Amino acid sequence: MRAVSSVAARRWLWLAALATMPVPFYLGQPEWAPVLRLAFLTSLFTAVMVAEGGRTVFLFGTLGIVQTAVYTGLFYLAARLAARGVARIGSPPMQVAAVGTAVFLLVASSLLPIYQTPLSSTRMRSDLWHLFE
Amino acid sequence: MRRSSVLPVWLALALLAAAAAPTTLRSEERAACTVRDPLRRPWFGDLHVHTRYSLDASTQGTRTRPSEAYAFARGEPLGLHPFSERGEPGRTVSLARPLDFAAVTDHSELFGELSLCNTPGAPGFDSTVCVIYRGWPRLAFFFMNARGAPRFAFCGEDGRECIAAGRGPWREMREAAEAAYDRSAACRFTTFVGYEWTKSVETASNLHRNVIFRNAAVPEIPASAVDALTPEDLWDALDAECRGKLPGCDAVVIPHNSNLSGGFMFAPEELRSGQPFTAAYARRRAGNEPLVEVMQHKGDSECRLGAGTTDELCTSELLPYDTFAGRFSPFARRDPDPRNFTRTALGAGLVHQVKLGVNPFRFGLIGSTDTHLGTPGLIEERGYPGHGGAGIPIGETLPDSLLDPIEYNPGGLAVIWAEENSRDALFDALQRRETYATTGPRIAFRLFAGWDFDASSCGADFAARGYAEGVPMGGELGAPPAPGSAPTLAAWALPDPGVADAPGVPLQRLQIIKLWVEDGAAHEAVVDIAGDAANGAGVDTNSCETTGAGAAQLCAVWRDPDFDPGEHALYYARVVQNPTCRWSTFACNAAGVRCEDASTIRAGWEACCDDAYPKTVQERAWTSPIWYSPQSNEESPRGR
Repeated sequence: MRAVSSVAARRWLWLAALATMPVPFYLGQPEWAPVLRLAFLTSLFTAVMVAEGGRTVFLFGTLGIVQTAVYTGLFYLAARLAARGVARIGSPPMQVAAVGTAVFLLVASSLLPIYQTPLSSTRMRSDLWHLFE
Repeated sequence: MRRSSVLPVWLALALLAAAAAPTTLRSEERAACTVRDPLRRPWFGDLHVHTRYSLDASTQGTRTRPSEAYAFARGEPLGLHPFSERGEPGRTVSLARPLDFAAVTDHSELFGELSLCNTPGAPGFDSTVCVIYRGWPRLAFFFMNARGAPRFAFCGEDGRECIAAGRGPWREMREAAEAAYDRSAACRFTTFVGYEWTKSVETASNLHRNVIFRNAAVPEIPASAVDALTPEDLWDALDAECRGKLPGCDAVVIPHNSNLSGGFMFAPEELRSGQPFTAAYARRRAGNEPLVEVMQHKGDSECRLGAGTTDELCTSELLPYDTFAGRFSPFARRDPDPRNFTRTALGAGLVHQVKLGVNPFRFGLIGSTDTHLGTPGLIEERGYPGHGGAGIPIGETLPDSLLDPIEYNPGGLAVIWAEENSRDALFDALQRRETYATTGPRIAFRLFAGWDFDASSCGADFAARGYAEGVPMGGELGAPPAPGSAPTLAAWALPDPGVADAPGVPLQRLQIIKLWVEDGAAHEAVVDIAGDAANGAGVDTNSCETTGAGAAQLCAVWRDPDFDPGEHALYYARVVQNPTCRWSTFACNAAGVRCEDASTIRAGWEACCDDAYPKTVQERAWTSPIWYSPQSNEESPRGR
């Protein structure tokens, strides 16, 4: 079995974390949800900001962009560290298993309603499938 | 013996008072009311109700129309969200006792915007804002609510499209009020046309006011905070578009949630100019704003222990933040400013009167719900469904949690003493401030001030003697009849009788709150005049069973022992019930939460065990004040 490259491990872990790992953020109300949802909500505010202007949407849009950038950067660094750890595992099958298990656990837990989403119009607690309603 | 000898005198007084009671001048066509009491009756109602035409109601799923809200107030059941795909409601609520009056007061700022966003093919329907409003309404709540002026681009030049579209909801509100108003001789139910002017300043510091019109003569377009940016602008608009333009048109403006105003609601400067009050401003403010809503869904605004008072009862239904920003962001939480509270403002008004000769804060008190479900008068603690608005969004299914933020409450009622249940009679009473507020229970509560009341005043002729020898709540006490005279306050309260499956709760104690000016500053005294704070009554917070006895009636006369005829003063009364379970305790118990067993505290129910919030409440009522002014060349309106 081929070993997982450090770059590939980093990308898988990074993307999985961005899509599933709950983080606290604030966009009018505090939420615990993945960075992907934060980016999605930010894009909605940004769309209104572009179309309409206005102090409040500018404030929330900027707040969203800053938080998205910070979490994206932090997760990148964390994924890089994790990828280095994976590289130290000598056996290629074990490397694949380690990355696969981490991604699987993240995705599996995201299918439970672990996210607090008071900005959602349909549910206070959401799972991955309902994050973008 | 003595009693029988004076009885004929009081009967004669009662007849005199009845004969002297003015007939209600009609500003509208309607049948004369069969029930007309010259000594006036307490009419219970709600003057703060939101339906689907308010952004913060529609974005959390409320579908109630104004006509449905009025039907609910008259006792009909109402279905609430969450709705099934076939439109079947997930919950149904109804009032055990209908109200006597109500006003739907939707936020006027976005009538047109919401109308366009909900009408396929309308200008702006496909705009970014409307797409987000329909697709992610909770998100839209934040940026649309805070928009203000200028209007959104999809409203067209000068907001023309939105202003025009706003006529639709406004027309429906007026038609619903007209259809529900009982103009027959039965006078069963009165409606008022009204709306909410929704202005905030700084970081969500609340200056919101409800506008209640006397009758069906109302402006074509309500003045909103988009166009009328300050309270002064709102009064200008009412003068220009109502009083000065439409025959019979009149309105009262009722501020609310001063508890969330960051100190701005009763600030000593005009908002428009930033200048200190003048006598002209004070006169205008008192004339436009004769009432304040002291109690509602988002808290009690009377007073707060530690914020300028040591009153031990100033701990009930208080919000832990100073403005709305604190509700949504822990970083914006500040302790409430003492100026947020009506008691502080009433005292400040006396100080203003000393300086200006006019009191800008000569206001009476009412309560209401501020429901955002379109459910006027829904004040029961047991089974409280939340009132929505800035509360918890319900979504597709009822959340497994408290249905309102724990700091909120079911709100209160407005009570009006009037001869009959008609618009003119009730509106006159609003203007003369003969009103009181309750936290929900239908407590009957009267207060008169005079110079010669004594213990014998607490008889069957209480009201007749009160009107004949004194002034009622909201009034102004005249000059002392002789040197050494002191005001006597006669207060009387009956508990809410309740209904068969929810009997009323006995009263605990009756108090007089006196405010006066001495050495240029306001002072306060709180005096128990009847009842017993240590009556031993309690409540089992596990079962919500009440224990112990209380009063089936409280009546007392209090003579002010420290009266100084040279000092400005006011007096109001407060009555409290025995303790009962708070809404959150009913809900937490029903959910099986036991704070001593961590395994029962599910996610979403943690607030049940937050010691910052009490498990019990002492429901209460407050009368409007009665003022006393030293006789001088100052203006002191003697009532209307």
